[in-house]
Amino acid sequence: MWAYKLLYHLKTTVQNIREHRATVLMSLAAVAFTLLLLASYLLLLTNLQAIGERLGKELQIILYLETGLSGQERVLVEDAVTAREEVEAVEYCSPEEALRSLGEAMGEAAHVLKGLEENPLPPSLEVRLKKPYRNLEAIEEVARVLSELKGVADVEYGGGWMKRFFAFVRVLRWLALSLGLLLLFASVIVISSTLTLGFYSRKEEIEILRLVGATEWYIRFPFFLESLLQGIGGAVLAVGLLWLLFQGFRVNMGTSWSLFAGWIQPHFLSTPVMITLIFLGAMVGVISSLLTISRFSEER
Amino acid sequence: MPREISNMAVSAEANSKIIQLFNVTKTYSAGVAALQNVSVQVERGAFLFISGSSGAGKTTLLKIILGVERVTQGQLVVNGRNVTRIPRRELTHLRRETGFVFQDFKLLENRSALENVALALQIHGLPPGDVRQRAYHALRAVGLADKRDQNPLRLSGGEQQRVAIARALVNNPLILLADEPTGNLDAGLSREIMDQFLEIHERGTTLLVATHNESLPAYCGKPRIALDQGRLVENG
Repeated sequence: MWAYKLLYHLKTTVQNIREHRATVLMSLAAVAFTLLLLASYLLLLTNLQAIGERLGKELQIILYLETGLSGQERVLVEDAVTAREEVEAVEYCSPEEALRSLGEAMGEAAHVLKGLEENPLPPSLEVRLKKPYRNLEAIEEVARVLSELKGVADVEYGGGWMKRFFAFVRVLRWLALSLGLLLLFASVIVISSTLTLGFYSRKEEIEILRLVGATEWYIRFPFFLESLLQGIGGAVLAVGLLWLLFQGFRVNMGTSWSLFAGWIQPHFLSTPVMITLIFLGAMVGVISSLLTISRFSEER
Repeated sequence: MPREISNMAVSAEANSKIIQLFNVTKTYSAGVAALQNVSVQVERGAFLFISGSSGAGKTTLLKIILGVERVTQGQLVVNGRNVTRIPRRELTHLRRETGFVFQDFKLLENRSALENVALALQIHGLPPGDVRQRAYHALRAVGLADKRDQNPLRLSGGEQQRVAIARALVNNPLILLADEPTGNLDAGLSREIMDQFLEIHERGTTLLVATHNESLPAYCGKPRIALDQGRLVENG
């Protein structure tokens, strides 16, 4: 019996959509657009997160040694560093090598270095950590321990800007949440308005259905289905459009993007994120219908 | 008369009386009293006219029986069930036992005659084949089998009213309520509709027909009650 009822509901829903094609399409487009904004933001966030993680993996620790250190003392420091479980490799960089590297990095401006009376750069050890430890928390901890070694003057690992970068990503994540809620609310209003129009245009039919003894749920279900379809349809459309835009971006970026290729690949939204977006669309539909339908229930 | 009538108390009388109104008053929010202290007993299988001029309270009386309006004071018992304060869920059962016909037909213009009748069957979740068959039989009973695929707008007033009657009867209701069913029809078509009602009555259905047309009760040879400004002035 319920299967036949579902069949009649589906028929009514299709009929409603067909009769109010223009309104439903506009509503679908509006929902798709709001969810597209949210999805684009999530895509940006996902890729920033990936960039952050990749940069974290590239991080290495530089230990600046005290200037008056003898060769034997330097080897002792090097041995102490190499002995640590987290360390993969240690490379010594003399003050002369450091100055030469700096000159190369400065290019045409390197002539300013020629005026130096003595080399101001200290000797250093470049410490590369093993893969599992190439993250900000582990690097911070290892850097702290190594800074306490005798003969180490200073430690640098680029933690400052990494921290700022991750703080920025965190702020973006919160913004995504707030923006998401705002956009979902907007979608609820759009679907709700479409349903309200549907209710008014089917007022007579609803009145007749009530008089012949239809339950409130029987009357409500096609509206529920319609808004659910609008929510899911809008979300699928948003994800599809974003995918097309993403592909277009990759193709158009062409060679300029290939500079980064191999270092960082742009990621599309993961399957769980896409499923979550579609689920959010469905929820928008359900909430819209519940909010609207309750306003049109028969008063007793 | 006790102030509250329990379902048990009314069940004994339920066999003979299908509709019982005890001192029913209906006042609208603006303070307009549509019905004042009306008491009516309708026998099972009766055919009763409710007459009165416009604004006498005929429509309100039918709406109360159908559960569209609530009683302000008094008690209402339909088919042995006290429906004075009936909850929404039980209201659907009451309405499935009661067919209705209105002056303006209340047919959906975007559906065929058959689909309009089918609407009342689909709510029960019957298979589509059964729905079509039963709707077709109901239309045939009112002489409109050949017009089943017609849009209501392409039917005459009398035919539209007969589609409405078919829809009201398709679920075999115990009671048929009709509010000015001939209000939009000429004398000839009005008599056709009355003949249809007499046939329905012969099959055992209780009929309550509200009309301001004084000639209809005489044409059918059936009793009437009369309302005037919400008061019962003549009791069949």
